Amino acid sequence: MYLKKLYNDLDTLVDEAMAGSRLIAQPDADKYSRVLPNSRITVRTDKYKKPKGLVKLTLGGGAGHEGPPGVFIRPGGFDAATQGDIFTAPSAMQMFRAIQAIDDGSPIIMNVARHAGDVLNAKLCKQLCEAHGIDKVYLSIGGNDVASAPKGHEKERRAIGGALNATSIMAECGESVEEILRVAEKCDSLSRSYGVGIRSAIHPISGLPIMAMPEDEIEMGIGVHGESSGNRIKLPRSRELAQMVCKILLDDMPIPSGSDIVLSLGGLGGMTWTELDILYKDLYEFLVYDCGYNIWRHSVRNSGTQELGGFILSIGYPDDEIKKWMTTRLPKGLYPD
Amino acid sequence: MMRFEDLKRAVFAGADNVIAREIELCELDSFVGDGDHGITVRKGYQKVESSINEQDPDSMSDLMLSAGMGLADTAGGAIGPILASMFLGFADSLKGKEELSVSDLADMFDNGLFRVQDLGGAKAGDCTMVDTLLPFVESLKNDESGDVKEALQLAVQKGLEGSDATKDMIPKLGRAKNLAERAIGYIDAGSRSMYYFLKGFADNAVV
Repeated sequence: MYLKKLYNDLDTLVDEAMAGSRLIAQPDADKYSRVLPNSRITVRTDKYKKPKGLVKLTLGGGAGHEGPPGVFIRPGGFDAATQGDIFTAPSAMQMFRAIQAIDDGSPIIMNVARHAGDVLNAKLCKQLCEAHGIDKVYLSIGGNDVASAPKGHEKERRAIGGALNATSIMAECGESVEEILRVAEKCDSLSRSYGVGIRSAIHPISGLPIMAMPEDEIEMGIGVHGESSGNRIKLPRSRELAQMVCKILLDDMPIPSGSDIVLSLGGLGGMTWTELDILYKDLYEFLVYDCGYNIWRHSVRNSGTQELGGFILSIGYPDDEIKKWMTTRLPKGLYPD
Repeated sequence: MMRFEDLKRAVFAGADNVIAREIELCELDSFVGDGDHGITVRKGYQKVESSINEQDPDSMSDLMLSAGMGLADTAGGAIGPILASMFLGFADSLKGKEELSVSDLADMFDNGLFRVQDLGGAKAGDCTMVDTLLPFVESLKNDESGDVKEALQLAVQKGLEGSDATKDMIPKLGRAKNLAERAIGYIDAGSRSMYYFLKGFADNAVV
């Protein structure tokens, strides 16, 4: 197999990428976090460990999405992260080792993206924890991809993106596990996401295209691993596509004109900034001028599924409580400067 | 009655039996799946054995916990985690026990069955390992002999009949579900590997 990508050894590709991403994130990476020996588990350093009694948060997922989970391990973020192989959930044992490393008797919430492998291994991890006497482990399973399950089946929707997050700051502020779980669920239920695929990508291990994509067609409702929806359309202009995707999201979750919304646009790795800039302008014009919304917060980035051309759009509809948490600062004095 | 050494021997015999059937299980899977079931379970049960050897547990419950932790270390696919959960279920029901009667064994396998269904979501008739394990457990529960060897032999026969019956079932879970009616006529590979484990276990539980 000929693979036209930069790599050294396919067996160590994920570990080398993880090591490189930490070097890029220096000096902060080593200040706030460390990787457990012979693992893909990142935890906070002792100096920046979250104080005992506060709820701990873990994160996990497959590799291959750019922006590895380890970079979120810091004050105001998460407490431990695990990474699996390319597009493969970490094993339950890896998740368990991560939890063992941060367990101080406080409740632990595992943030789980709703994909079969992630959910299965997280549930098994909880069983492993219980078998070892770590019994305050909770799962927060989220996903709001409109394309993956119809209205009325929201709890079956897979995770591809999101716009609202309050859990990390709530944990730092000493909120209870019940409160954090409640608000996490509310954030997910007030968010809607949708993916569009424009150009295919090559799987870095198998060397095969992750999906077939005819020259003049795009795929509506694509998954973040190239999962096909079968819904192909001719390539429209950016303005038209922006309106189509917004309408799909707003049909599923109507938002009154005049409301504050949160917008998250994530390029899938193979999007150019020119494309993202134009698309964001078109989204802005439709949502602000035509729909009458106020974009309260927004983020635009390339979050990556290898070189897959396309994007995930998420719209969030924050209520006052979510807004309060999204504007709360990390309490002073919890950590050294 | 089974003691620690009997249980350990039976688990290794069950694991060995699955490992020895790797190619046959791959062939079964190739009709409806991607043909790797034999490899997946071979690797999984090898992990069961290596994990027990490494952790060297000295109680029945810890024996099953070691087995479950070995399986939980496998990434990708659903079978590893589901089997791991089954062994954790065994471990849970064996806490504090030093010898097992037929009814203890029935409890152990029943708890494993519960975990398999809880994690994997399969019901009877969905064309999965549950279709082997469930009649096996039912048979143990209904035992009147009180004799471990006899009870296990009868139960494993019921398990085999259950696995054979998957031939006429439409798969409801896993990759095979996409084939629906086209999968009729083939024995489910997961039900077969479960049978081989139980068969090896039953044949070696009492010496």
